Amino acid sequence: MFRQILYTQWKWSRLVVLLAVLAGCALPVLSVQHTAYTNPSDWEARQMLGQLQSWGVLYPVLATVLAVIVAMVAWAADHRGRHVYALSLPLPRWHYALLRFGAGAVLLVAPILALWVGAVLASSTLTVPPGLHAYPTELAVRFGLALFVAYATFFAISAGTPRTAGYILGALGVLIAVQFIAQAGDVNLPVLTWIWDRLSIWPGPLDVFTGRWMLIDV
Amino acid sequence: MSETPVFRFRGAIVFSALLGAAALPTPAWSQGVDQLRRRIALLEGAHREALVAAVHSESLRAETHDTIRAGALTVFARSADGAVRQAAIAAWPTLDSTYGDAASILAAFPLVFHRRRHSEEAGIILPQQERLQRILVDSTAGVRDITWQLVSAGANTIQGKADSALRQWLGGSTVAAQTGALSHWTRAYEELVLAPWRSVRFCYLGDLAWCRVALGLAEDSNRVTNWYDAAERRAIVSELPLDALRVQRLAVDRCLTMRSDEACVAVLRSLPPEIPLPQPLPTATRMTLLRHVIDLGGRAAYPRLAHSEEAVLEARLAAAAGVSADSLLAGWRRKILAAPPKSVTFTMAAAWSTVAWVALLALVGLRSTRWR
Repeated sequence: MFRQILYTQWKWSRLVVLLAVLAGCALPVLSVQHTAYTNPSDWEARQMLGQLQSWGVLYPVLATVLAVIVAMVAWAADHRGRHVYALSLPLPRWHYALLRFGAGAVLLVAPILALWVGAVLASSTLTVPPGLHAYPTELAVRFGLALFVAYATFFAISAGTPRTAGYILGALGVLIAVQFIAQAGDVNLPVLTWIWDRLSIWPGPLDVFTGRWMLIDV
Repeated sequence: MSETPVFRFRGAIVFSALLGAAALPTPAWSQGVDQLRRRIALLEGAHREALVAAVHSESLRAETHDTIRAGALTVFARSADGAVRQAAIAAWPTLDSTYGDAASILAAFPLVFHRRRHSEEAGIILPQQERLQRILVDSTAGVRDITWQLVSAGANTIQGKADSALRQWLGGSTVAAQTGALSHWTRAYEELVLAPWRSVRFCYLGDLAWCRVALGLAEDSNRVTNWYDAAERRAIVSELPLDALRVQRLAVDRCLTMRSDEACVAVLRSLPPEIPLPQPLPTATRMTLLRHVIDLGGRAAYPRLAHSEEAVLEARLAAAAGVSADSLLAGWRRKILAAPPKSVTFTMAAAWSTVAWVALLALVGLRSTRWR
């Protein structure tokens, strides 16, 4: 059963996955293409890191975009067919959802491996200045974790009903309104800041996205 | 209260003016030095009293203020603001442990604290008074922010009383505001690895003589040739604003196009004071050395440093720390190298928490109510 679901999801999302494989492999290689450090007597590490940092924002962006598309595609056919196919299977709901989740997760492994290969290639072709180090494996692991967090989030959202999405959006709207009223009334109530901090600072789920994404760093 | 605050404010000014006038009629050349010193001390005392009275009356005129004291730290703040009291209590131990007995000077330099409200978005213009530091914070500032403001203001006052050589070396940064947290050492590590100067590069590689140069502790009279090599001098000249170099156009051309190092040196030596030479290591990194000195020398370190008779700054720092200069610099460098920043490396705790989040979100997806 898993192989069939994996095959169908591969067919639906192969273009995106292949593009992500290419992007994942190319991104680290491109990020070091124009680094100025070619001669060990030069000392242009700061400039080099600046260039790498500007490329670094693309790693979480790639992870998020890929995760959104693969998660949406996993459920798209079921939503279109009003879940008739899934209901006709002799499987409980959780088992079916698990197969869908697992198939998507397997497809995401390829871009992670591609990024790791690209990062290893990029760092091996470059003379790293003293004091700096290349982190190809760490970068790939972090990319993988970010990808899976984003994928799990959008998979859960996509698997829910429009009513659930409405509740989430409504709660967000209420929070924004409370924040606005508190500010107007000169009351110190930083609700949104508090929520964002809980999400983006460890142990929040978005902690993996924050900070610098550097192939080479101090 | 029998008199209005405004009346007291004016009264204090009139009092100090009368006292000053009373001191003036005697011709200065007819007085002995001791007599003049006594008069100056008297006038200073009167000025201090008048100032305190003026501040008090001015603050009373605006709103009810409390005088908050924590050690020698004195803060005038609105009575209702309990956060300032907590902040003052938290700030004093930092100032006391950093500056030791030198922090007692704060008793003579009160801080006036004001919290900006939303209705004052246009900005508040606080009257300036000598010997009086104003602290203006946002309406939402909490105890932690205010504590940092009080520590910074207090540290500015204390370090402002140091001799000019030390003040110049400190460059306006305050060591107390650096709480010894890891981030300062981490930033110093980044500077040591990333700064584009030869002196910093060799300091990172372990040559303490170059650390002296990078920290501005070596012979200061010839910075242009001591701090940079020829390529660095040329790079600095190429980054200078063209307006400032109009007079030096020929020398600049020789420096940049003919690669004449003599011309580069001449240009850099004749820079106007408003265009300072870039320091190999920023003052924030110098502060880590001072923090290291205080960590080694304890409460007595800063007073020793401030009152040292030594002419050379490096010797003063070493004496304040109670170790030799080489040992001081080696320890400082070791401390920096022990605090590399976290880059893409991910802590195990962060990795496991991410895995847990993935599992939790996946469970949420499996428990969806779509079919019910």
